[in-house]
Amino acid sequence: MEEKSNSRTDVIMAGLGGMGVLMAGQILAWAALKKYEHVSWLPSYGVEKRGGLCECIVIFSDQDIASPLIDRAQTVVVFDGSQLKTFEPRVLPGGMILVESSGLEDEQERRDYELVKIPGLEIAVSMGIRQISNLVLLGTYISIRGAMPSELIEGELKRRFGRKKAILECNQNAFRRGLELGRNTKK
Amino acid sequence: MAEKMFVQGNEAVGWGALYCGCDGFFGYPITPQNEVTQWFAHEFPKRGKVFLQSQSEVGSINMLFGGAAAGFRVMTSTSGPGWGLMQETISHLVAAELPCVIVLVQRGGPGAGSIRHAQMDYITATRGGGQGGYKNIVLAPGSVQEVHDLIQLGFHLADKYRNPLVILTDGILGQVSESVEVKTIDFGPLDKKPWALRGRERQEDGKSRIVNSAVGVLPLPPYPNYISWLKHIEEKYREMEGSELRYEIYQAEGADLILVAYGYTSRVSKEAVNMARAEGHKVGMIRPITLWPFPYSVIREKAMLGCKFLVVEDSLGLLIDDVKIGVEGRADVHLVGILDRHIPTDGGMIMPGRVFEEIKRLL
Repeated sequence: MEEKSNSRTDVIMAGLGGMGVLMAGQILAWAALKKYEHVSWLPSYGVEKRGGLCECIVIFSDQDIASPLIDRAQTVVVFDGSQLKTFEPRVLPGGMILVESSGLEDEQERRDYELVKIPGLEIAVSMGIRQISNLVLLGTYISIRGAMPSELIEGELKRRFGRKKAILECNQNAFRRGLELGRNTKK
Repeated sequence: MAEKMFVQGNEAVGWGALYCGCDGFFGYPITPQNEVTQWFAHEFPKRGKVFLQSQSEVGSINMLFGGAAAGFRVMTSTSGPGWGLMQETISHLVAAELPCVIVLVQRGGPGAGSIRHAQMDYITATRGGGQGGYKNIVLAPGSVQEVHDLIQLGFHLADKYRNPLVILTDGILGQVSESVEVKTIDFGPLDKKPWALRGRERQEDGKSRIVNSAVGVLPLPPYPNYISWLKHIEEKYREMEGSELRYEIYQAEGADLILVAYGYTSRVSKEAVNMARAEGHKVGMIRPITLWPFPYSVIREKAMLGCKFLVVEDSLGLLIDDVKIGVEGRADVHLVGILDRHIPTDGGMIMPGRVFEEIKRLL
């Protein structure tokens, strides 16, 4: 087990059903369990099997989590470019939104947070599997925000997909591309 | 031995039940409690326990009657319309004095309402939703750990009082994942259900037993008539009120405003109390853990000190009636309810920020 931490991180992962938004949040939450005493993962999604609005709130902290449901988070990761406007109110002032650049048409309306555009889908398509854009964005989030050591996510990917080598590898590759992209995006 | 897990509230229902010796689950899938049914379907048969998916909720609650009458620890779980269908037999379970646990994961109503979270079944859960004006203990967990813990307490109290017991959660508490310490909680010994229908050859006295829910029509010893039996269940209810009251008080010392909430809105309220305290406002919370019996005396005590009240519940206002009974007209009681959700759809939720806004308006 990693050394226990003394901080709190909260993030809203948002997008449309079928993009792996809840899965990215699950991977993050399970990875956080290795380091944090308190972790919560709260999903919210509609009746549609695919394409409906969908989000999850992930919180990891050394302190008690009063509410797993929060209005606004330090970071919002928007996995679908068309949904920036929907989720813009959900970031705290001084926070950051990482948004998928493909399909992004909305202009940034608030000026009190930092907007970072990530070509996650383009990278995933270039790797031959568009479904892994969620891991690209997760990697970018981890590297830009320093939310936790990337090894924790790597460990969780092995725990989760270890028996399916091909799936594990493509998720690992996507996550590592995301990390790299984040490092290059950092100011 | 305790095992730490990261599970959803709905799954914690199953782990709690497994670790306190639940023998069988009868249920029918309905959102937002499907993970409960799924958990039992997956985990119970391989452990030699009973999982049975019924043809409807009417079927599952009557199967529960059978399992409970035979002396087994049995339970079901449902939501919204399924809860409505179960009411008649819950009343029979009370009349026949059969212990069992019913988990109600609340969703939006009335009618088929919405398949998402809400807290709109408070009255039918706490006042006896079926015929005949009965009572049952209602336990309201506020976290995934407490779901696990209160399921176990629920089975214990159901057996102790020979009465069905309701665990009242909601779609959000059912869906959220948190860390849980899974273990058997020891509540002390209980009798071995000498009243259960097991067949004469299995009874110590070799005599047969009768389970009967028409006590006025067919009086059974030791109750010679209908009224003597009613007196008996009334005494039982009074004992539950006297011995089983449970609640949490959070930051309420010296408070000018007290929030009252259960289930997911109690978590939201706790966050709002923290936000208010950080800005120096004297705000606290009373969280009833038993919704019946209800902690009227605790509410009254705070009302006598001059506190105002803010009820936070995801409905048009149901719990608020109990708070008003508690304050006995001594204090103002306000509501942040379902109309205060952050977006106007079935996916809208009562957010801490909205509660904090109301706190500031009231102080």
